[in-house]
Amino acid sequence: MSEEKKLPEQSLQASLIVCILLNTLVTIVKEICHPVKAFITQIFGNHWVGHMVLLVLLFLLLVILFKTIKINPSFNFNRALRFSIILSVILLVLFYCTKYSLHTD
Amino acid sequence: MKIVFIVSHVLFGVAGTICAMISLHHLLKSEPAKFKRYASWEFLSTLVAALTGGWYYVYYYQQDKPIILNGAFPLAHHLFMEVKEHLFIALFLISLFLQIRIRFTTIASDIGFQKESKEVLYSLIVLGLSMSVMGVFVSMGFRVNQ
Repeated sequence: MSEEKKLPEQSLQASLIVCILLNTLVTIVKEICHPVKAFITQIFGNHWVGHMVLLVLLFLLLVILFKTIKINPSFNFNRALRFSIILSVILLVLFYCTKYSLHTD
Repeated sequence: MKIVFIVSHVLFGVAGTICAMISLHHLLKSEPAKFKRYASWEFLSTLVAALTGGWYYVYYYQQDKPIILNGAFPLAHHLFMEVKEHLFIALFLISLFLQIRIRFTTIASDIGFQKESKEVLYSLIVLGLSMSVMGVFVSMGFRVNQ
């Protein structure tokens, strides 16, 4: 599967991990800080559309940015991907369960 | 029109997960051409699922939301829909990553790339199945009040 080099793979991998974690962070910030949600809604018409567009743009931007940064060669992408997904699921479920229980109290 | 967007969202979402499974199967059998082809179909399906689901969410879900919230199972929105809509963004990014990785980067080490692709496809399958289950709960939250 050898191909011509075009993009450094590590910058792409690091960008994905950062964006998965940022996705969770932005979700929580958006829910806690309503002006942030209102600002995104004002620009994109809907907070979810804005969230998705911003994250995809950030992902592509970080790929370019990380090209200039030297990433630790011991960076284990497979482990980092698994960790970031599990952490995101746990944080999102815990956050929305807490929000729901506070809302119904 | 609403039903068209919901059905398309579900069908393309499930098709994306099935394509990820087939892609993984060809990766494990060391058939790179078929692996890449099905990975591309997976991305396209996920993209269409995002567009149809997004269209439904923006233009129709706001009318359905109060029915769920005032019904017997409000957790369908408060937990399942909220987690689903935000976790889907992670799924889409992983799918986009795989496409860029296949097309625009060095695939120098076959073993390293195969291990990485395996992990990515497993993640896509698990997230895709989770989306389906959460979608069932959201649908249940709406239907229980009908």
